[in-house]
Amino acid sequence: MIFVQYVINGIVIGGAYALIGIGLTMVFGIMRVVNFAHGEMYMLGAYFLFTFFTKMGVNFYLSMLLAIAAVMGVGGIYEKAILKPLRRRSIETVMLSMIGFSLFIQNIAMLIWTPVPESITSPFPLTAYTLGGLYFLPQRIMVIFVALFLVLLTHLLLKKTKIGKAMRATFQDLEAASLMGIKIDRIYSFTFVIGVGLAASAGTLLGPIFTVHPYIGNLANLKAFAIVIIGGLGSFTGAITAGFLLGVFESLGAGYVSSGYQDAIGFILLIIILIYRPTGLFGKVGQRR
Amino acid sequence: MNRDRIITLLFLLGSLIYPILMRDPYYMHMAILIGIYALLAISLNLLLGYTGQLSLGHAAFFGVGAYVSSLFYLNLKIPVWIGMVMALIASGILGYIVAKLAFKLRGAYFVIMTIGITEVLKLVGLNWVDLTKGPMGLTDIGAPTIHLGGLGTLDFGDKIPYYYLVVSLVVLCFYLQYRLVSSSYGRAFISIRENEDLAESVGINCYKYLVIVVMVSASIAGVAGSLYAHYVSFIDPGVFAFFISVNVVMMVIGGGQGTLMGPIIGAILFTLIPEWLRVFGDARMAVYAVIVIVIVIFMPRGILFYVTQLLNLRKKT
Amino acid sequence: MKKEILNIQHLTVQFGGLTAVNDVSFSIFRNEIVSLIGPNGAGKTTIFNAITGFLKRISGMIQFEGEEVSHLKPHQIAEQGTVRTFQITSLFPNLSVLDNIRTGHHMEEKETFLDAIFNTKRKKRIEEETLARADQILKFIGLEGKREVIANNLPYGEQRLLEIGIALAARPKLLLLDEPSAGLNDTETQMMKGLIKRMRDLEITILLVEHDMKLVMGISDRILVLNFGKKIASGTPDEIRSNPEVIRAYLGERRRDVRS
Repeated sequence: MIFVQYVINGIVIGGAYALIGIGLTMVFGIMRVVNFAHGEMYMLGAYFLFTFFTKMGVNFYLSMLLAIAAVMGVGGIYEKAILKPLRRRSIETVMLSMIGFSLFIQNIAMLIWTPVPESITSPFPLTAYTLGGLYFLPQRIMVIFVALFLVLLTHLLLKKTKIGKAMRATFQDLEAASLMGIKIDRIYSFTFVIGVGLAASAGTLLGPIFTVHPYIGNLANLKAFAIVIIGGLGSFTGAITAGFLLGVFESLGAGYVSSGYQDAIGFILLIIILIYRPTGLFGKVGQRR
Repeated sequence: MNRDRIITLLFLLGSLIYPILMRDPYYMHMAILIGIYALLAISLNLLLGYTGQLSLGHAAFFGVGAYVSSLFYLNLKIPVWIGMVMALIASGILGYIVAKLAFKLRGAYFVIMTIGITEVLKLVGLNWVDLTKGPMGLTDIGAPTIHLGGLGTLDFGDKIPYYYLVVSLVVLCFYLQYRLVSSSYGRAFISIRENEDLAESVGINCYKYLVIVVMVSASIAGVAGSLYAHYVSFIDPGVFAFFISVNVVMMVIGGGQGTLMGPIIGAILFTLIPEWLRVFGDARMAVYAVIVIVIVIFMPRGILFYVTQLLNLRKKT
Repeated sequence: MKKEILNIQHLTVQFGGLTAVNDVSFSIFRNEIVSLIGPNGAGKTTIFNAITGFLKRISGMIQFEGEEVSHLKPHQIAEQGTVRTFQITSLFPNLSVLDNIRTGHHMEEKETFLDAIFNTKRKKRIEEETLARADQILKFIGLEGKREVIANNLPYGEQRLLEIGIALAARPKLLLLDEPSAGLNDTETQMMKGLIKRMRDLEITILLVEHDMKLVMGISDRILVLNFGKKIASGTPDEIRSNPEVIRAYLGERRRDVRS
């Protein structure tokens, strides 16, 4: 029974992980950018929620929307001002400069919000619903519903809308897409903004569950990369699967083994995947040696 | 005697007479740290500068070296020298493991793998409390001594002897780097960076050379870790900090990757810069981040390269 | 009795759903110059990749001097004696011309780790030999005046020559040249033709992929024709010139592929 409880808790967190993962895999897959600052967007999402909801008293759901919108704004500027000029540079240069930017954003956040960890009190009642011996906290129920909703929304965006089709075309073959008249610059900006929006949404969902401080982006970032690689670069399904898998494994690991090593689970899975199937669970295996 | 050799000799001379000129313990402390970081930078330079593989997990080897050396000293009560050799071997083995795990990976995948491995090691350091005392860390890690029989004991516990110990190891590793690079091994390393497919097509076993370079690099980094532990006499899982990995990369890039003196210059710059940035107080790391960004984007061939370019321009006009 | 140096039997290569090479079989004999021709996308470079160990999943048999080599890695293929050049200019861009060639000589440099560190007499001797050989090759390809030039800064034609120099440094028995005359003007192509002949004089067997029909017809002992991954013809230049299938394959393609 407690096993099922762990699984349920894992699914809740996994939902948020899936969101960060989808956001990063889209950016990684479509723009081929290794955005080490992705975790910082998660952190900013949580902090903006804190500012709007806890400090300014705006309605919770509205605060979530505003927080996501704010981070999307930051992301949009970031993409235009920073990522675009770096497009021609080597992957090492991009990676290292993204690390520099993530360090920068972390420390600016620290200067703005102070390094003192904050907590966002959930607007939901703190008593859990019980059903057949299992506990369901309202906040966590909301997380899973919102996460699934956003995943569905993103799926519809990619599959049914014109811009979604353009994004998928760009992912499959950049040259062909641009020859067909797709404005790559616009697709990149749009992709990035959606990507960081998803990361921010995960931040707003998990913010009230865990504490908020300037360095939560670090772990979120590393887990996002683990999820994306385990699932397969650019694979939407992969990111969702890996996100939920990671959430569940972490929960089981923390429950049955030790909570200290919880964060190591993602890295260990990552290392295993990198050794045996670097293209990920849903990635395509290449022909080259 | 060409210009590069003269500069190298000047550095050598300068470092030998440094303690005579600078008696202030703070300057000695900085010099020792620079020396330890120089070893780290030389080690990463082999991997990043010559074979062209970016690693953001060099703290893994540094940390393992520090812990292995300290644990041998504290638990087995053996002379520090043996602990240092153990640190070298342990890091070398870790390097071999990393190379075997990551040999197919290049670019972003390799970087992420190195980060992942370091994070796992950090978590082990934090959680395997029985061995590592977790976040409390290991204390009272003594300095090496040499017993000279009737002549007494050389105690490296003081700054000046420790400084010369560090310097001699830096000189040794610098020489090792020089010899490796100017051999067929060096040409193989460089060929991996320049064009791996072409290298394979003329019979260079890139996998073999990557394993060699990672093992040598890891071993040197492990020695650096050991020197660090026995100098500051206290270590905790912070030796696996991401910042160390990033800072070493900045040393190699800022000093000039793929050059012999580059890591030395980079070590001097990037040991001192975080210190100088203390004047900014809380904004310290934000400024550091800006420096990282500026160098990576605008000075990928190292600060010295662009400074000399600038000076050359001045001369022409 | 001509000795067989390379024997390909039923080679098939698939990329996902696409069959790039379809049941191709042929032999190359010692000291021959054989050209592999066919429209773009016919699978020629894929065959090169298969022979030199750059592909993971291939079916069929590849024998070099009688030994099965299809499972070997690229550097092992080179150790056996097969060296290739690449379709796209492939050099060590930031190294000098001399260092490019010295790197190609790697397999001959049998120094150990200890040799390297202690700068032993053996290492010094190996260095001298390597340098001498590199200078020899530079003269052979005509780049001795450009010894210290950084490879990236060479004009295109000389870069292509350097590529061959690097391959020669690896002492090939069988040399695979992938479009050696691509991008070269008529004078340069003539020089390349002469170079290929002189390499054959050094007892190197040569298999080349080419689009320049004049060069192919003028230099080949035999020609193999590929289309859509299948071998459609094999024979002397005269035989191929008048082969109706070959003509159809080329006329079916855009004419600008055939330079003759």
